[in-house]
Amino acid sequence: MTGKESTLSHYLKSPTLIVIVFVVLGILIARILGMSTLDTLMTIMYFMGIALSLNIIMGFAGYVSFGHAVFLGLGGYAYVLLVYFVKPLAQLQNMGFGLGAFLVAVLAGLFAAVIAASVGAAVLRLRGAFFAIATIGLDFTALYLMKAIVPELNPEQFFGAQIILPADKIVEKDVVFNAMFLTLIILLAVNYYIRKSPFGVGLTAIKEDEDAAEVLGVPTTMFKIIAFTLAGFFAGMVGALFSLNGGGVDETLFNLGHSIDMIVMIVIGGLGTVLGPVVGSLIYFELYDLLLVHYPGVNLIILGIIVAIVVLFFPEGLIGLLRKYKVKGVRLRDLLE
Amino acid sequence: MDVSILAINLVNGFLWGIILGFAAVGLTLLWGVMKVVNLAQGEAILMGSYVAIVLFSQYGISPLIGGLVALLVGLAAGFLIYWALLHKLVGKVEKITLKIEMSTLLAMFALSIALLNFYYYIFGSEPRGFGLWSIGLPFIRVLGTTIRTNILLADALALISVTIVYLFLDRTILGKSIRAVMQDAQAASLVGINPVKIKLLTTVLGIGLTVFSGFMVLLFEASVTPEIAYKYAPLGFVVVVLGGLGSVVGSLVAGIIIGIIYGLSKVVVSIFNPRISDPVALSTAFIVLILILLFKPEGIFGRKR
Repeated sequence: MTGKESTLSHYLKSPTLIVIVFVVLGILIARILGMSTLDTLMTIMYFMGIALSLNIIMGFAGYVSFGHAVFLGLGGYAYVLLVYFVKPLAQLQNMGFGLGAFLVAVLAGLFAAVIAASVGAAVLRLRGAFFAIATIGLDFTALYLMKAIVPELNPEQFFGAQIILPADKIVEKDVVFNAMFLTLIILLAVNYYIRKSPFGVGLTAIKEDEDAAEVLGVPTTMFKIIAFTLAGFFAGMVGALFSLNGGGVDETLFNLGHSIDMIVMIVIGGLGTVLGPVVGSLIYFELYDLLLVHYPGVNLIILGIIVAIVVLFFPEGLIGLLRKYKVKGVRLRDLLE
Repeated sequence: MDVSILAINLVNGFLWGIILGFAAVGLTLLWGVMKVVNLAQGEAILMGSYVAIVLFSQYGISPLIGGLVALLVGLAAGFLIYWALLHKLVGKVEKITLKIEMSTLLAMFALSIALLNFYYYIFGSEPRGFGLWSIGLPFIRVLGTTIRTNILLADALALISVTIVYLFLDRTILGKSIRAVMQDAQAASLVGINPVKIKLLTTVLGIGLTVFSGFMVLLFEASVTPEIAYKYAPLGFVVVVLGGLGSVVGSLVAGIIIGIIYGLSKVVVSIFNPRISDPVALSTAFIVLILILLFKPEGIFGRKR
């Protein structure tokens, strides 16, 4: 992977990129032709978005964060509070067919990123389960603080931590779609770039053996903080647009259930790859839908069992499994990233 | 400020802290001995609560016997969890690496998804409990405040249980071998301790105690919903980290500390704004967690790693 070789034609040979482009075009075509409802597409993009955002820290750097939903929540609250109290932003979000909403979501994402960077500088010193537990702690701290702060901001309008956006501050759903679509494309590109870049190689080194990576000159602390900040930023953006789509926000956005979704998708798809979360989120969405339709009530029980089976018997996930095989003499390991 | 309000909150925090501490004993054993972080901690607690509830409401069996049955169910559950999930991941492994730790984390996580939704499916989200059941009078007056007798019963049971567990680990050969594996698994196997046997025993004991603590949690809370898992599991992690991995006494002391911090911060916050005192007080526990992780990661009673 020398710099000179990485021209456009080089990238086009990569099936990973083709799958990504295919997925993006697929969503776009389904939207234009009306093959699927807007809500379905939003849900798919939301799933893919949260999986890809956590992937930056969990997939590449190997830091499992059980409290990643905290950034979803922070982004959601930041967005809703911004458009609720700042008039120009409420006007901005309706402009440019989603570009305005995208820009406000960037602000919300930046808020989440600032929290991620400052907290990350501290908690990323922890490893393994301690890190996972610390992020759960962060999630609950943020949850309880929101429960305490939000009702005080506007006691007459905000019931508990729930904020419902008034009609004049809501954006039409197809505009939100555009903003989410744009976010997803950027998120895919960032994931792909990280995978290809020296930064990504450094993160992988951290995942394999952090001490060895440090000795070999990888600036581990800085890399981890950057990865965590990026993960927080994008989770914040997705959380913001998800809330906007729902017309408001409440404390359920901090639920560990959202962290569960992200982790399960990455684990099913395959840790440490770009394709893993993409494929994983598509499978997860189908599975979720299928189980919900056929086995309402017990769907999540079955899901838990499936995850246990994947963890015990296919710990590398679907893409990890495929990477072990050869097709026509070509090792899939070299193709699937 | 009214002194009696402070006293009431401190006493309540203390009584709650004992329950919190006992509920985390199983967690600290599993984590300390096997590096298994039981993310299904809250669900294990609920298992004990629901076993006692079902026996009481369906078959009219006294909660005291129900609690005992909960312990037995918990031990059996520990046995199953070890052979179904953990043995494949940590059973034969001498040194538990970060990667294996992550796999067990995810496996317990999967268990928690399945169990929690099983509870929602069977019991729904309505609160369930023993109704008006209590031994003797439902309330007693202590120092000018009323306390439910069930809370005192729960605390007494928790303290007795912690003492028994402590004596088991401290005095018996089996208990000593558990502690030996906790300190150095390789050295322990060199002196003839069968690590698989100890890991199985730890899981059975750890899960059993956690499930049993669900009975005390129910007595304390008066009623439970599946939501309780989201309250007790994270607090359990706080208690374990504060008390030091694998330390039973540390767990109890840390539980009481967290309970008292909760009571105190509730009083302090309610001076400024009574409506937000509960959420802010709960968040202090997690701020304590992050501070402890950063500045004294071995906890109060833990050894330096």
